[in-house]
Amino acid sequence: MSRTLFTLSFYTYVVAFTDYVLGLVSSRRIWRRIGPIVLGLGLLMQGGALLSRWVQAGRTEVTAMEAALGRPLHGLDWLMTAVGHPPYTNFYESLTFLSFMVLFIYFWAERRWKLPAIGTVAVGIGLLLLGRALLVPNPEVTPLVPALKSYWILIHVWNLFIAYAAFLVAAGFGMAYLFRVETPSPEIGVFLTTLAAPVVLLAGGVRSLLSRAAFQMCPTGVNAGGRIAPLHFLPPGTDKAQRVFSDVPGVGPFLLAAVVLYAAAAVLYFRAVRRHAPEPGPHGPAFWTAAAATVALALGVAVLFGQIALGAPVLPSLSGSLERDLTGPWRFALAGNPDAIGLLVLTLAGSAVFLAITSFGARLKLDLPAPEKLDDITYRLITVGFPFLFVGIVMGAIWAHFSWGRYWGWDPKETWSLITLFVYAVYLHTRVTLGWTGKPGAFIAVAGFAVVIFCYLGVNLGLTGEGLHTYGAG
Amino acid sequence: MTAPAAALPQEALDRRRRDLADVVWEAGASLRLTIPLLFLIAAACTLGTFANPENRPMTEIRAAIGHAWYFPAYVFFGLNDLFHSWWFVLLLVLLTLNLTACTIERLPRIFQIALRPNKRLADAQLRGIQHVIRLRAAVPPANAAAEAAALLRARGFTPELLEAGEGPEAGTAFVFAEKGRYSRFGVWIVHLSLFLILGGALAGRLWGKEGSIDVPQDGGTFDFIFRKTASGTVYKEPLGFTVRVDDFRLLRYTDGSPRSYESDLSVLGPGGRTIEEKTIRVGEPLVHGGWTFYQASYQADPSRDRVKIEVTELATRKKTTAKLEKDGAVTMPGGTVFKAVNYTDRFESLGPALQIERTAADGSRTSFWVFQRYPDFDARNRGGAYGLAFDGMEPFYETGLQVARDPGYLFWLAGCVVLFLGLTIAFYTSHRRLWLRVRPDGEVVLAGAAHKNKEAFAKFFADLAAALGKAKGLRA
Repeated sequence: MSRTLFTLSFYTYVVAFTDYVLGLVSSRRIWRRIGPIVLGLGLLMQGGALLSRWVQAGRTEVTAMEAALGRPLHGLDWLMTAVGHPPYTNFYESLTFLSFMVLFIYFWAERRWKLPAIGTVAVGIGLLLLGRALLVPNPEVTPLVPALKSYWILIHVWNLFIAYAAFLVAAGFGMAYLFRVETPSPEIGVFLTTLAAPVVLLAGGVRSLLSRAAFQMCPTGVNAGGRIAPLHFLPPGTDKAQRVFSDVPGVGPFLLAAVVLYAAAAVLYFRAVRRHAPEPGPHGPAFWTAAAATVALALGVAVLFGQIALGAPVLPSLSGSLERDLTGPWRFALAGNPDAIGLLVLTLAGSAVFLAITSFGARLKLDLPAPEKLDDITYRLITVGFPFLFVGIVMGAIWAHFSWGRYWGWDPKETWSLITLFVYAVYLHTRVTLGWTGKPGAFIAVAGFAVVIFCYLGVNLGLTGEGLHTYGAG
Repeated sequence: MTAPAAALPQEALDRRRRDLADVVWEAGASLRLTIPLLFLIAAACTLGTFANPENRPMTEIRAAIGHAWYFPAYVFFGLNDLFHSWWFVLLLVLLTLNLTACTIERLPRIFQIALRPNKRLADAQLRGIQHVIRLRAAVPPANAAAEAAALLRARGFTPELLEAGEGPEAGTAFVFAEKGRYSRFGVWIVHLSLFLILGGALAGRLWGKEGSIDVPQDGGTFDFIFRKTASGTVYKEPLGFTVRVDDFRLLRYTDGSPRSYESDLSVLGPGGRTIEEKTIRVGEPLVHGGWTFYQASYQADPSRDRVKIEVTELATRKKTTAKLEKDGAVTMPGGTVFKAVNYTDRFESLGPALQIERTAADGSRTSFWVFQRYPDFDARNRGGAYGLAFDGMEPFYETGLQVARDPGYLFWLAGCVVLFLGLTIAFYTSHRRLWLRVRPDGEVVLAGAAHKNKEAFAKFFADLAAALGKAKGLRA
């Protein structure tokens, strides 16, 4: 039931996204009128999907509890058991919930400030998140693990999702601002290339790229249910499953070249900004270096997709027993690690859009609201997110105190939420006290996007150590 | 040619010293220091999540990269445990000092704005105010002011009618009204709460103790916990009293997945007397003598698993039950001994099964299997004086307790409460002020400002201006 609604809302958002893109580039008003209506329809469906998932989870909890206790639950016990499993307790659910919050907050902002339909970026983010969620095989609802069975889960988690969503939408408005004021391309170039180099390095797997110039990927097989699942194994002496990674031939050198070229382009663009050189447009060395980096990345991604589509079965080296009843032949598949591939594709798309705008931007006139308005909305959305983030972190600390006897343990998720808090604290302080409105603020807001995504995904991607917040990595 | 420093008069030296102090203070109390500090801490945190993600102890790291050229730097900067390294703590201390200086520097000005506002509107002030409109008065200033005050009162303000001014302002009537004065302090309440939270954390760090202990579920006692030093050495920290674990239960759903786990703890006094008893669960700790005992985890100890068997003397239907550890045995009155030798949770497709070794009174031995799912199997099929039924396996656990004492806890918790209050005030309230001035010549000026949520205030101000324009004694 909820899965069908999620899928339906996904296709509705695809239509909404198309409307928003057309509304932005086409001079016909009709797209701008349809977009919000379709978006609202999708939100209704997805809201229904989330509710249905919550009810389903509640029913599962109550049934399991009643069976375990051998008696029916009544009153407050029943209520707490039924609502105590909100629809954001594993990776799949949290993705659907975050995409809903992003789209809802954008929709709310559009109504609140009576904006024309300009939310291409925000709707795009929501669409990507929900699409990523639908790549996860529909997980059964199982009763929560004891560590999560607490009313704190109803208090702590959603605060953070509101904060993440508000920040992501704010980043979208920050981008719109930069576009609206026609920020020169060297400035955006510094920003984009400085961000792209580490993202490609991280997504490619820092250690394998640097030590063996290899891109690593998790091969998949087919399990008993007929589903494609990433290959996991149990190392001897533990019952914690780990993914098996295998080198994808040919991809690593391209990615490494892209990293180096992006870094070089960052330096060249930085020098262009420092010298206040006249807008070099598509002819400067920085532009060509960035273009070369984009080509290298595109080739790497093309080889990767080629290996996924045409590659022969692979034989990963195993030390330990296989988890679950997965059967070969093992192949590279998108389902193996969609997050790393997604980050690479996003970086590629981002730089391609940047290069295209640098070359043909003068011809593109988007009908965006006044820059002051975009700037103000970015700020207002951050003031929505900031207190929720702060309260969410502190609530988590109090919960940790009562559960584990420590309120702060520098767990990766804790640390990254603190980094996010600091980034937006810098935004608020520079704006309110130093008066950094406009461009510098917009840059911080857009950079915040990367920080939030890393805080949300990076920890689950396993880029940092295992933490306490990786309950449902599946 | 410059005079040597010693030749400078004492006064100049003092001034130079004061200048230096001023410069240091100004830099320290400046937001221009806060921003790089926040960035540095954020960067350090980022590094910290990658530096030693598996939390490996130093001995292991030394074995892995001890020979590398950068190892001395790794040790010097404490990258194995970056969040407790000297330089990270130094950054946090600097941030706290900066916050303190900023508070001392700015708070008086905020008090000035919030508590001693300029209630009589002056022309110089008008330039900095967001909303200003001008009207004409048709009645004497005092009456016009009273009329405006009534309108403000109807909108929930408590306007102050100020007596006519002196000198050039003689005969002029002033009205001042404000709402949400406390809103100016919201940001400072948030910062104050940070002091409480950081102070509590510091107190916990300096005087707090934290450790853990695993205790067998069957009445194990302990009067110490294991603590770990920064370098990874483990030592025993005495509690000052004894705690006994009376029982541990892992509750399960019918499909076998864990539902909840809990331990029965007793605090023992002198002579082994029980002083306090409590069942602790995740999120429900026991507090005694300043120490808090948390149910943190559990570990299975398969070497001490027990099996339940029921032996029925077939002639009399007399039943004997026993719980046996591995290789434990039960001796029947006739001298027959049944010994549990092997357990498997899956015997082909027959489910959990137990292998029993029977030693008869004459010393002869036989061995056979009994099945949990088929309790009558043995009595029906094997033949003999006794029928055995296997009642299931009881796994043996050690309960994992986290034990801590944290003298900063109350500070910290108070800080959280103050933080919520501060955030609510800072982000959801606004200080709104209105000034009205009626000159004897009939000139009326209404000015208003809000320090947040300016859109809503703009609307409110426009409504108010319209209402004033319609008032009897005033004209737009």
